[in-house]
Amino acid sequence: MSVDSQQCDPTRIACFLEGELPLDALTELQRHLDSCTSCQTQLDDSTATVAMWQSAAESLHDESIDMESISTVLTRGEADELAKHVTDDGVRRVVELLAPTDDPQMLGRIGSYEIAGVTGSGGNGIVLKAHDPALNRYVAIKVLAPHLASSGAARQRFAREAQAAAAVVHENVIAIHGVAESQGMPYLVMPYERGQSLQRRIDDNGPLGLIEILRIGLQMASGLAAAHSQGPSSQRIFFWPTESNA
Amino acid sequence: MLVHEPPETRESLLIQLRDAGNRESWFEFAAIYRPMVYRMARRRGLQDADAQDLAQRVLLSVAGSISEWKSDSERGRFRSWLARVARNAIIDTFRREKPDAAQGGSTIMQQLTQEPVPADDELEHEHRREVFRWAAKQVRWEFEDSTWIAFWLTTVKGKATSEVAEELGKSVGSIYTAKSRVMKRLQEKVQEHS
Ligand SMILES: [Zn+2]
Repeated sequence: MSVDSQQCDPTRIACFLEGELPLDALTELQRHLDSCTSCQTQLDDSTATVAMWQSAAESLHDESIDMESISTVLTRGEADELAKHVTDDGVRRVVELLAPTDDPQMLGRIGSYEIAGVTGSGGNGIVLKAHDPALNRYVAIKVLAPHLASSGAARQRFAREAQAAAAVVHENVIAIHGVAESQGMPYLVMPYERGQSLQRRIDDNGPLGLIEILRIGLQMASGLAAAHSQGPSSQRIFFWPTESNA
Repeated sequence: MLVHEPPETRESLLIQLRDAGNRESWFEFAAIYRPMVYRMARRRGLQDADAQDLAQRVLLSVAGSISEWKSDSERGRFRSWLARVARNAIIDTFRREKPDAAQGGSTIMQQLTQEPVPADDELEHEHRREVFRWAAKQVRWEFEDSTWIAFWLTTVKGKATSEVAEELGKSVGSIYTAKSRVMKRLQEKVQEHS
C-alpha cells in the first residue's frame, strides 16, 4: 500500500471532480475514502452544496404515485421476445440504400441527416444514429425494415406506429421529431438517447438481472398505459428504458 | 373522460414549431410539466384518469397559445415564455376544476390542507422537483447500473454508505466516488435547464 493512500490531498479530490484523475490514482483515492471521514465530507461538499444534495434526494424520492396503477411485470421470456433481431441482412440493405455522403466518417445520408452508424435492429425496423447538421446534434432514425418496405400493410402499420407514438407524450415512449421517406424507405426521427438498446445490453452483459427486468417491465407497462389511454389505434410503440428505481 | 389531443392541434403545433430548437424546448417542456401538473392534481384528490386529463388540458391550453409567440423574438426565450403561459394555464385549469375535484373523491382533510389553486411557491417547488426527475432520466444512461444504484441507495433512499457497500459488494470509497460522479452530472443537467 503506497503512502499516497494514507494522506489527505484536497487536490486529488479536485482532480477527481474534474474527471482528470488517472485510474491508479482513483483507486488510491477510493482506498483513502474507505476510512478517512474528513475526505469523505470534503468530497461530498465539493461535489454539491448540502441544499443541492437534499434537493436531489427530496425530488427523486417519491415514486409512489407513478407506480400506483402498474402491476404488470415482464417475464424473462417476454423480455427476450421483445429484443429479437431482424437479420443483419436487413441492416446491410438499409446501409446500401443510403445516399452518398462527402463526410468520410459517415456511412451515408438520409435526407439531410448524416448517418453515423447502426445502433440496433428489432421488431419492424432498424435504428440508425444520425447527425443533424442543422442543429449539430445526434438523432435516432428508425427505418422500416427493407423486407417489409414493399408491403403496403407494413408501411401503413409503420405510419400508424409513428402517429400513435407522436400522439403520446410519456416519459417511456420516445418523442417523435418527424416522419418522412427517402429512397422508398419510410423513417422516423427521434431524439438520440445515449442508452444501449435492450438487445445490446443482453449481448454485452448477459442475461438481465432481476432488478433490470422489473424496471423495464414497469416502464413498458407504464408506456403502454399511456399509449392505451390515447385510444385503440396505438398498437405498437417504442420503449426506451429510463432510470433505475432500484 | 379523457380528452384526446386532436390530430389537427398537434399538426398545427408542429407547423408553428418549425424552429427545431423550439420544438425541442416544447418536448422538454411537456416532459416536465405533464407529470408536474399530474402530481399536483393527484395531491388534490383527483383520480388517475382525471389527473391525466387535467395535465393534458394544461398542455393543450399552452399549445393553443403558441401562435401568440413571436418567432422573431430573441432565441432561447421560448422556454421562459412557455413557463409564463404554463403558470397561467395551470392556475386557470385548477380554478375551473375546483367543483369537480370535490366530487372526485377528495377528502375533507385534503380540501382543508390543500389550496385548490396552486400558489407560486408550490409551482416553483414542484417545477424544481420535476426538473430533477427529468434530469435524472437524461443522465441515467451515462452511468453503469452499479454506479447509479450506489447513488440512488445512498442519496435518494438515505441508506448508510457502509450498508450500501456491503449490499453491492463494493468498497466504501468506491460508493463515495460513484455517488459524487452521479450527483455532479445531475447538477450540471439541472443547471443547464434553469
Ligand atoms: Zn483524508
